[in-house]
Amino acid sequence: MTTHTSENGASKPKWGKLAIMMGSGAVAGFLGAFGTLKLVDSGTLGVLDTSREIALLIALLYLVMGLAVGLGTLSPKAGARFLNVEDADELREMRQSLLSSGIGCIALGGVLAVLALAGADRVIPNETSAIIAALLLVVAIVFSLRSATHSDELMRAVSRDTAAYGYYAVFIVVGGWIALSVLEFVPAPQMIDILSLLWALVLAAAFFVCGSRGMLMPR
Amino acid sequence: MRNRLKKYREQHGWSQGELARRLGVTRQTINAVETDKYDPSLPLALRMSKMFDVPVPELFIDDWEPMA
Repeated sequence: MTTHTSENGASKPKWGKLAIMMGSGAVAGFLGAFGTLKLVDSGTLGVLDTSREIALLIALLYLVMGLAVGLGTLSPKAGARFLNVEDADELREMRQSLLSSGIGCIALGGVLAVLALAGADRVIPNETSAIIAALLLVVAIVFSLRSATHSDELMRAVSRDTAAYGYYAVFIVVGGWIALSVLEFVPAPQMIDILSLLWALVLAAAFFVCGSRGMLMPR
Repeated sequence: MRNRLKKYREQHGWSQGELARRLGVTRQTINAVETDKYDPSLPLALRMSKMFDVPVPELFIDDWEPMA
């Protein structure tokens, strides 16, 4: 795990920082997932099948990531400890882009969470869910566009690549599942499964693209 | 694409942040270019060559040769 070029020499990854980033992410993820599943088991959220539980957990990922980016940007000194930046100044320089991105991420997670919790035997009636989800989607779009206007060419390239790889992944995974269900080899996905896959595959594509650009290497 | 951006940046005594500020991009972009993870756009490559007063092929190394 090194970053190197023949002309530019090697730079040492910061393993201590990597441990903090991964540790804090793992703890936040574990606590969030544990709390969510406890809440689901308690019946407070109504009747949730496995597909809706998975949707909630994926939504939680978006919420945790959005909160980490948003709070880290608002408090750069603390944020520089758990976000992959060189120092607090870098967060200050990218404040507009990252803050908008964090809000957009939270709103997107909110859309999926609201949809997962919608229904007659769950906590949010369908009509209310539709309104909240639509509003959150508008918020996500507005803040994503705002983030894009404050992004430079690398981030725009990452967005384009994520869209492309995300599309391929959706085509193969969602298309493959539906094709197999058409052939009656596997049960057909529920609509919430398809939504969960859209959210999860775009996220996976973003991580893949960031990794291939060396943006996941601790700095 | 291999490049000599880091060499020229260090010759000028600039940090990645300082070069990023002068070029109007983020530090991540400079870092990604220096580590060969991102090839900059033509406008940015031209700005870099103007910044260091060297031709683009001196900054960015392409081993391709035209076929005879």
